[in-house]
Amino acid sequence: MIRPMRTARLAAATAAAALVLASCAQDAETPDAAEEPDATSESSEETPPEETESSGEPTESEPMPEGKGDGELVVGYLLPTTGDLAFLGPPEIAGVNMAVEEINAAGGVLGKPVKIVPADSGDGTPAIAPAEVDKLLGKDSDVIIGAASSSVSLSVIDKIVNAGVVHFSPANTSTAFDTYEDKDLYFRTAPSDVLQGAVLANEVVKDGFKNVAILARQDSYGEALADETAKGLEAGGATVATKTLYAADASNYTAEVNQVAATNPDAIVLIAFNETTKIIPQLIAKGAGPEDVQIYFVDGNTADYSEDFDPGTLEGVKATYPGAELTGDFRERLLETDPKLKEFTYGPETYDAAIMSALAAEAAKDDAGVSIGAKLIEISEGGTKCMTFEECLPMAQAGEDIDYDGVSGPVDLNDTGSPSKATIGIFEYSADNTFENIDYITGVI
Amino acid sequence: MRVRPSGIAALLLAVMFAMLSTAGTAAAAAPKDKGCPTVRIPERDDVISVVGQLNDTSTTPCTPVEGVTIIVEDAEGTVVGQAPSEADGTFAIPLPGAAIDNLGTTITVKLDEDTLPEGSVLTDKKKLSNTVEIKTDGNLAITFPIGPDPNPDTAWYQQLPQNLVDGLKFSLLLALAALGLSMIFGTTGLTNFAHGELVTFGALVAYGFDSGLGLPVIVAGLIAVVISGLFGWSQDLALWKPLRNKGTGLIAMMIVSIGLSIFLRSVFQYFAGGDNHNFSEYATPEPFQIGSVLLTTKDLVVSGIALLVLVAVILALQKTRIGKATRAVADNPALSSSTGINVDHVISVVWIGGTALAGLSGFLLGLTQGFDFQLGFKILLLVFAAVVLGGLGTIWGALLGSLVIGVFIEVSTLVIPAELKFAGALAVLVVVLLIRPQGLLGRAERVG
Repeated sequence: MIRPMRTARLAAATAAAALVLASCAQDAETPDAAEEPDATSESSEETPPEETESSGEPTESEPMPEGKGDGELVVGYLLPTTGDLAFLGPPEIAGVNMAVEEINAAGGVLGKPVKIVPADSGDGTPAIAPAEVDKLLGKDSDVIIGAASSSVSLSVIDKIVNAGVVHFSPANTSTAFDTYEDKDLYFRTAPSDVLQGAVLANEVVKDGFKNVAILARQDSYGEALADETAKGLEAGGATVATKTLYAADASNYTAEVNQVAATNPDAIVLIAFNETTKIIPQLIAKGAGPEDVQIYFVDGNTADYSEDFDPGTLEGVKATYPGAELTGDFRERLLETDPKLKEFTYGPETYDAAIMSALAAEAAKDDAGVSIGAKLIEISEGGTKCMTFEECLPMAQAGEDIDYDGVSGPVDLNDTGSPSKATIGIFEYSADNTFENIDYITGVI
Repeated sequence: MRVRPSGIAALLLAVMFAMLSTAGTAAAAAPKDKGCPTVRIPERDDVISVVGQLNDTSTTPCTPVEGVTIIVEDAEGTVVGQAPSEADGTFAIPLPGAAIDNLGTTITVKLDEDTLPEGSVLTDKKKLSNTVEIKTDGNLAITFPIGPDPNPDTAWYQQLPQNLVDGLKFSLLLALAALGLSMIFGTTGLTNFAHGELVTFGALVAYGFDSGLGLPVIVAGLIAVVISGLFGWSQDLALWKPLRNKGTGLIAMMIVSIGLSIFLRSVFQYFAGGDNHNFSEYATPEPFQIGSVLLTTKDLVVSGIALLVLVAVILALQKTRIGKATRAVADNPALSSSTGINVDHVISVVWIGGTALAGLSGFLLGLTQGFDFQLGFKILLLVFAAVVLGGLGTIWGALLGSLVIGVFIEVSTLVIPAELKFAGALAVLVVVLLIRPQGLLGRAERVG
């Protein structure tokens, strides 16, 4: 023997083990983030060291000074342009751009135009969001709008709020944020999944289904929504045939699909992201496709599948996602900002997040993250109602208590920074694998 | 190569063949009906109604159950409304007051068991009431399932055939990738962490020809396999051969392969984006049933191709001149060289063959379940597990290892939660290696 076989084997085994550990670490990252504030605060301390003296930004994590901003409102966005959620990115980015255009057209915030800093959140695998957040913080962001995925937000929330910056998500629906220790700097314009779960379950029962299987992505979004849906189904008298979770980076879904099909469900709730395009064919191959049982989608996978499936594949599939009916010319204005838009999911929520941040900065007469965070709830509820930035601005400047009602709904934020009231749309897919609205349900959380 | 392991593998192959041949005679399963017809009860503005539909599912189609009294009580137990079910089984009980007053309150909806007609039995006899919090301004739906339990507890072995077949399907595709990896390791000693990307490469190239140029999927797949082979050949020529000639250590080459893996994956993502893709044809096949197993024609064709190619490669390795030379090089490169075998030529052939197999594996994986730029990376660990489990560098070992891993992943979900399926398979790897460090079919080496 010339080749050192044993060494090579050892090396292969070690490397394989390293891969296992690496992939485990990646999976575990999200929940761990909550338990390891040390690690994250450390990194946030070291992120923008050079800006500290020039701007007086509150970058120290612990004693958080009532910081004074640098006079220029910088809105960073952390939205997906790559990964499984990339389809959500364009309407959200258009929402931010459009809001900032309008704000600047009306004279900007504190007399200066608002600046946008873009960043890509990815979908969590690989975890690019933390590095992108460093970039945003390094460029003096006062507000970070994003991310779309709850898991991604959870992986960067400590870093953002410890830097004294507002973390404002237009699309996080995980229930985890209702109780998260966020220094009162986390806000969202998308309602917690408690409501979407209830509406979805009610819709399933209303449609007459009794033995319902739930197939969900195993992350903080999927599990929470699956739990809420299961709760709602059982409260409505239906049976949860199975609640099967799949690993988000699984290489196949056959066993999970088998488990679902084996329970003989009359309806399936599929809580997934873009991997829906892998799961639907497997459901069909196991006799549990949209033709055989009623399938329900959620906000994570309500997308235009006209290029992914043959016509008719998804006909009759129903879906829920949070968001009020778009009123007036919002859709057209968003299309002016980005003429290539095919979908508008979470565009209104993102727009509202940007407008509210600007109004809060005006109300606080300061653009620092902590100052904006202290005013956001106040401007969202109770007070004189106003609908646009232009309309709200003079009142906010005069120190009047305003109640901003946005394009995504009344956006009355409660003390946890989440909307206390919200509208959930019910949609149905037609033969061309696109969806249209059939109903809107408003509820309280 | 010894006789015993090849005998075992031949037996396994024969079993697979037998399963496939019985599959041909199946009849198409009738599509299930979508359950009971849905009666949509119209919403009334500003009033919340408790609505629902009672259907007895003991008959096919199900029969609406009429005349059952449904009672709604508020949180204090006061009856706020009641109504019998109509001829179509529906009931609608408006709650007193405006919708806004009822938001956030809790109500209990009860079924009066005495009014249930003879022969109609509740699925869960004890569940006569449901307590619900009203969270939305729309109608609140409540159901009381009537009829037999649609999901009776099934014993694990009733699902075994389906999982076994699915596991076999996956292990065949795994084996294509594992065989290539094992061949390259056997002849060059390289632990190639970029092998996963060679798998993805096949799927991506096929996708490019299929959706980019509009070629039929099968043609695109064939082209992809050929291009994969060329890719392997040029990779060896431009990268691995110079490294070997410079006497780079195996560990250093392994690190190079990890770098190459990351590089290729990023390139793939740049060109293909992060989304999942399906080929333009055969994306959503209809299943047919054989016994308790659901299969699609696509599954059969994919498995058949994989099996044929595996058999052909193994025969080539056993019978042809170049195959024998390959095995000789795998055994002892220096000695083979001195007997007149052109080692560099053999290694070139192995690279072409190995990457072509990986490319085919990627194409077939993409065909069965769609793919994204991480397709190969996601299965790389399983491929390594299969190769190490079977015995590094041995041909039969790669096959047996793939079989064990692939089948175990699927079958283990009958007892463990599905999200742990890969963990279970890798636990098997650890246990086997503890007992047999050289792998199932690997040669034991003398220590010291």
